[in-house]
Amino acid sequence: MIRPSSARGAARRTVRPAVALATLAAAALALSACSASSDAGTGDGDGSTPISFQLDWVKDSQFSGYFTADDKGYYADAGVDVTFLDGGDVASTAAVIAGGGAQIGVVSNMSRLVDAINTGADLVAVGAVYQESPAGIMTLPDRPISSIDDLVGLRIGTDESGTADLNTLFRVNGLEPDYEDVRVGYDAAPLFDGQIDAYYAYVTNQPIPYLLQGIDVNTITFADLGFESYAGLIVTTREFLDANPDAVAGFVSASQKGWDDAVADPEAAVALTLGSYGTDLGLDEESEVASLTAIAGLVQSDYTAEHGLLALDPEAISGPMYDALTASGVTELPDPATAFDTTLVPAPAAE
Amino acid sequence: MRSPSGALSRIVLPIAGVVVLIAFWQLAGTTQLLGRSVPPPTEVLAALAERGDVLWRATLATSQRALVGGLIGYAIGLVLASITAWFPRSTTPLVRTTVLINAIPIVAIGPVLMTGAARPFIPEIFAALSVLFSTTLATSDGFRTVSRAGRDVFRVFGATRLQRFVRLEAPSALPMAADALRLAVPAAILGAILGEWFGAERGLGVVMVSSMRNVQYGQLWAAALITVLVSVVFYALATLLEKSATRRFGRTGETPSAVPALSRGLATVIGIAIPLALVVAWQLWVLLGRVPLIVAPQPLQVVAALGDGALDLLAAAGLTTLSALGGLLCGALVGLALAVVVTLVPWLASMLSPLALVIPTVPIVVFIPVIGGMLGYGMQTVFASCVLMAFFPLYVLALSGLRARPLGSDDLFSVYGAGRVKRLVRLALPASVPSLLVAIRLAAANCFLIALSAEWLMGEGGLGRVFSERRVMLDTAGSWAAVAVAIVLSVLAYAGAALLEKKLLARWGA
Repeated sequence: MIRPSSARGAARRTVRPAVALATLAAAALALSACSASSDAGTGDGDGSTPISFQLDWVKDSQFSGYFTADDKGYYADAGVDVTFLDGGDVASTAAVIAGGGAQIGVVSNMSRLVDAINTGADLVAVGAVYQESPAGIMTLPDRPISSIDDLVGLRIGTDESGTADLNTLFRVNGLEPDYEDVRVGYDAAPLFDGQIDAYYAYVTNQPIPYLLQGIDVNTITFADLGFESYAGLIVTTREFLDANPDAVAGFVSASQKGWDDAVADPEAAVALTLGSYGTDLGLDEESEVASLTAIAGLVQSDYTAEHGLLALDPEAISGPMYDALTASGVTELPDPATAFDTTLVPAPAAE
Repeated sequence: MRSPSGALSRIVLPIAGVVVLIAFWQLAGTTQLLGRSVPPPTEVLAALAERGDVLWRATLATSQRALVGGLIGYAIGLVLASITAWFPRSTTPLVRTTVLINAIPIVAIGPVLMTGAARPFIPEIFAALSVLFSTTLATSDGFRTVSRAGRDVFRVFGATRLQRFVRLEAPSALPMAADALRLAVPAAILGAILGEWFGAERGLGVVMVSSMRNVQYGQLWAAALITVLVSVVFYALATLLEKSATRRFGRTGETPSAVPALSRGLATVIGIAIPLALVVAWQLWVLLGRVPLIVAPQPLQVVAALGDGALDLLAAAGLTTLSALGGLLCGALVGLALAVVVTLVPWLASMLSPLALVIPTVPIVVFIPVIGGMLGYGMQTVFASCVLMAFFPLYVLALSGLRARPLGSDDLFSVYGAGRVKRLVRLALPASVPSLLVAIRLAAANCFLIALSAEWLMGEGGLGRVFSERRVMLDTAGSWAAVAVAIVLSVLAYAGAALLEKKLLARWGA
C-alpha cells in the first residue's frame, strides 16, 4: 500500500481533530442551552402556575390521589396547572427534579432524598404520601417473619433498590447485614420455586395478586421490623419553593384533598386511574383496588388524623427516621429544617 | 441451490418450527417446567384477547419509535460509512469515535436525557444509538470489499470519483448494508423498549414493566410475543432486501481491503484526541449548563471515584471480563456452528430462523426469570445471557456470509462434483470471512455492554452490579466510574478483535 505523505496531506490531517473538537464543543453548548432554558418559565399569563410533576413509577393507582385531585379540579382551584410525567426508573426522579426537568416530583423514600441532598441538590420535601413505607418482606406461610433475627442467614431476593434498604434494616437493628443477596428483579416467582427464602417487595404491590389468586403469603413492612421511613415524598427545589410558595402550597393542599377522596373511595379512585390516566398499562382492576386499599392503610396514621394526610412530623423525622439513616451509615445528615418544609400541609378543620 | 420443494421449505417449515416451539411452550407453561413465571400460550392468548386495545396502542407506539429512531440511526450509519469510502483515511478516527459512543451504556445516560429537552424522544434516541454502530461498521467494511479488478477497470476508463462511488463502491457495500439492516431490526426495537422505561406514557416496554411488577405474566408474555412478531415482520422485510441486494449486486466474498494505515504518531494523536474531545465536551456541558452532580458528575469527580474504589472496581472488572469474553467466545462458537448446520441442512434454516430471532428480540428482563428458573440466579445466569445475546450477530452475518460466492466458483465446484461438506469447507467458509470478521468485531465491541446489563439486572457482582448499587444511592461519580471502566474495556475488546483480525489476515495472506 502506498502511503501519500505530502505536506498537503499532513496539513489536512492535523485539522481534523480541531474540527471535531469544535463540533463537540458546539454540541455541548447547544445541550447546555437546552437544559438551562428548561429551569426558566415559572408562572404564565392566566395566573395559574404550570407544574410538571414527576412520578416515580408508571401511572398506576399508587398515584390515584393525585389523579383524583386533577380530575376533580382541585389543582385548578388552587391555581396550579399540573402535568403528570411518568416514571419508570425509580433512581432518576430526584435527578429530574434537581436538574429542572420537573418542578415537583415523588422521591421514593428518605434514604434517596438524603442521598440526593448530599450530592448538593437543593431539594426540599413538602409532604409524604406514605406515613409508613410499603417496603417490606414477603415469605411463604411456613416461614413467618416477625423480627430481624428471622431474616439472618436467609436467601433474600432483591431488586435494584432492595439491597440498600435491606442493609439499612439490619444496621438499624444493630446487626451487620447477614443474608444472601439474590438479585431477582421484580419477579417473586423464585420464592415459590424455592430459590429464595424471602423476597423484598412493596407489601402494597407484589403480594396482592398472589393473595387474590388464593395463594397465601406472609408480609411484614420494614417499619414493623424497626426501620421507619416516609415514602412517596413530595419534593421540590428550594429555588422553586422560594419563588412560588403559593403554588407549592396550593399543589400540596389540593393533593391532600385528592388523597382524602381516594382513601375514602378506593373503587372510584381506581376507576379514574384505569379509565383516564393509566389507560395504557393493562392494569387489573381487582388487584388495583386491593392494592389501593392496602396503600390507604399506610397513608393514614395517628399523626395524619390530627394534621391531615401527607403531613410530615418534624419529631419523627429528627427522631427515629434520622436515627435509622445514621444507623445505615449516612455520616452527614442535612438539617431537617432545610430538607423538610413541614408547614405546607394544611391541618383538617377542627370538628 | 434451492431444492425443488422450495415452497415447502419456505412456508411449511417455518410454520412447523413455530408449532414445535408453541407445543413445547404449552407443555412448559402448564407443567411449570421452566418455573412459575412462564405462562402457557393459552393464558397469553387470553391476555391478547382481553387487553387487545391496550396492546395495540402499545405496539403502534413502540413500532413507530423503533422505526423512526432506527431509520435515523441507520441513515447516520450509512452516511458515516460513505464518508469512510470517500475519504478512506477518515475510517480510523470515525470508526473509533463510533466504538467509543457505542461503548457508553445507554442506561447511564437515561437520567441525563430525562432532565433535558430530549425527554420525549428517549426511546427514539436509544433506538438510533442501538443501530448506529453496527451499521457504520458493517457498511464501512462493505465499501472495502470492492474487488481489485473492478477498481482497476474504473481507473483505466478514467471514471470520476462520483461514478466510482455510485457504480462500484455503493453496489459492493449494499449486501453488507442490508445485513446491517437485519441486525438493526431487533436492536432498534429493543432500544425503543429500553428507552420507554425512562418515562414513556405508553408502549410495549411500559406494559412489560407494569405487568412484571403486578405479576400479570399472561400480559407480560403477550407484550413479549408481540415484540417478537413485530421483529419477525421487519426482519423478514430486511431479509428480502438483503437477498435481492445480494442477487442483484453479488457478494464478492472478497476480504475488505485494509484500512489505510495512519502514521504511528498520527494514530496516537487521534487515539488521544477523540476521548479527550469527548471529555472536554462533557466538562463544558456540566459547567456551562450548571448540571447538578445528581444528574451528571464532572470528569475529575469520576477520576476521584476511580481512585477511591480502585480495588473494588478492579475486582468487579475481572468478573465482568470473564462473563463478557467467555460469553463472546461461546456465543461466537454457537452462532457459527448454528449457521454452518443451517447451511448444510437448508430446510433447517427455514425452521430455525424464526426461533433464532426470538432470543435477540425479547428483552432480557423477560428472559431472566426463565433462565434464572433453569440455572438459578447469579453468575451462571449472567454468563448464559451473555452467550444468548452474543450469538445473534455472528449467526446472522455468518449465515449470509456463507452464501457469498466468488464469481463462477460454484460452477467450478459442481464440475468437479464436490459434495456439500467440501463445498462448505473449501468455498463457503473462506468466502464468509469478511462477514465473520465484522461479526466478531461487532460482538467484541458489545460483549461488555451485554455483561454490564446482565449484571445490572441479576448479578452477584461485576461492574454492572457496582454500577446499579451506586446508581440507586445516587452516587453518580461512583456509578460513572464503573461505567468508565466498562467503556475502556469495551474499546480494548474492539481493538483486540481488530488487531487479531489484522494478524490473521496477514498470516493467511488474504
